[in-house]
Amino acid sequence: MDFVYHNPRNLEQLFNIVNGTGNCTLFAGGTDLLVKMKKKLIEPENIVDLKGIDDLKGIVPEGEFLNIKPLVTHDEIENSEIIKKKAYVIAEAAAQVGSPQIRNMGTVGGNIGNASPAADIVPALLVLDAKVEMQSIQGQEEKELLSVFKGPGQLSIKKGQVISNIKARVLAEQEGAAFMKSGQRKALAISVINGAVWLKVNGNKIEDVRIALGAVAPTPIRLFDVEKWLIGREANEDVFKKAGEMAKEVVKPIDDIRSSAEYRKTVSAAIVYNGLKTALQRIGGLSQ
Amino acid sequence: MNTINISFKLNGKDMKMEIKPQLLLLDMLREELGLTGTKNGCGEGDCGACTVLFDGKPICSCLALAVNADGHEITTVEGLGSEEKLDPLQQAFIDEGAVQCGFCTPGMLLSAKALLNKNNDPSDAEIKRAISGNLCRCTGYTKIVKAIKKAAKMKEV
Repeated sequence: MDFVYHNPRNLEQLFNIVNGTGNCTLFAGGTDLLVKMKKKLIEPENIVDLKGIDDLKGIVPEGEFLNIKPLVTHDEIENSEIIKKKAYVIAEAAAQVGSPQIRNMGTVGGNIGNASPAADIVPALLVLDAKVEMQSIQGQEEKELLSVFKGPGQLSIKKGQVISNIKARVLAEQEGAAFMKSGQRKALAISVINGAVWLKVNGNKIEDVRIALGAVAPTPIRLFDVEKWLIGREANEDVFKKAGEMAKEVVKPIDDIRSSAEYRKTVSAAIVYNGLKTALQRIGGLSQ
Repeated sequence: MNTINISFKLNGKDMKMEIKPQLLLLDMLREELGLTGTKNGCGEGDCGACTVLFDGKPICSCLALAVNADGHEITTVEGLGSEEKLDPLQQAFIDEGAVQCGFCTPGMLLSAKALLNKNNDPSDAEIKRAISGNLCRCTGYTKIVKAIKKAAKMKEV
């Protein structure tokens, strides 16, 4: 590995480096970056280490959102009291990532920036209506998390921009959520498919719902058609089962080394059904 | 080639090093400092043979740059126990026959150490989760889990 190492201590220094230096590769947890560099899949000229920038660390509540800074590790998310209380679905997803070692290194900003269709944190963030703040020397821009993914490994981000914050909406009364993952084994498994559900009920009616799936398309997706169909219906097992069947029809997975498209379709249905059921149980709406 | 000065704590001792920024933490430990207890296995973060504790938490030293140790505390398997007395975990691994070829053992010990530091009475499930990033290809997991359980019950001296 041959690269120039940059170690900014604050955002100003970061933007000076990013703007004044040729091709820069941002270095957060390194669990994907270093693997790609060792295999020579990428050969960065400039490595910009973000870990010295305190403004990119920490979890800060702000109104009905939680600000999760990009350098927060999966381990910090899994063990954060405020996330476990107010946005537990993200903690649930973080706990399923890799291994203890990877969770101690890998960051939420890296999980997004890497733009893997199978990223575990992303569906959980998507169902909490997450936004991403991108900062550059020109200023700040806020985008819907869903809109930043262009394809496998491709992020819609302008040159000079850095992910500076991730905003996730906290769970309120009568709202429940769940994360589901199907991998080939328990530890260190890249998701064959993953998904998350957020549900808001009023009495026994579904008032609002968000469903997100990963590894069934080139980017993580929201199932808007299924969501639309669910709103206003009764929250019960039959309806959830039908929603699962609909999910199976709208996803467009591929055959790859981890699984077949047909299998992914079938598991999509199960993930949507189980996710809705679990979310409702957590509001107290179905017997355990 | 530019070098960077770093200072950090290694196995309880203050260290100062002048290193190339491209150097991996694993290579600094093994090649520059001669601490070969930390193993180079898959090199991709899958096997856990390179596990060290970074501020008390297990990480893969094969995916970390040595410069990132600056200002932090690193524990390798050489930092467990003392010349005179083994760490209870090391003793329990010997007593239970939890070592076969031994390649995964340093990483296993450190993942177990991180667990016992925050939980002195772990369940089997908690132990298995804590060592889920450490692969043993001799398939000796049963005895490893048993040894960690035993060490949790032994008194630290």
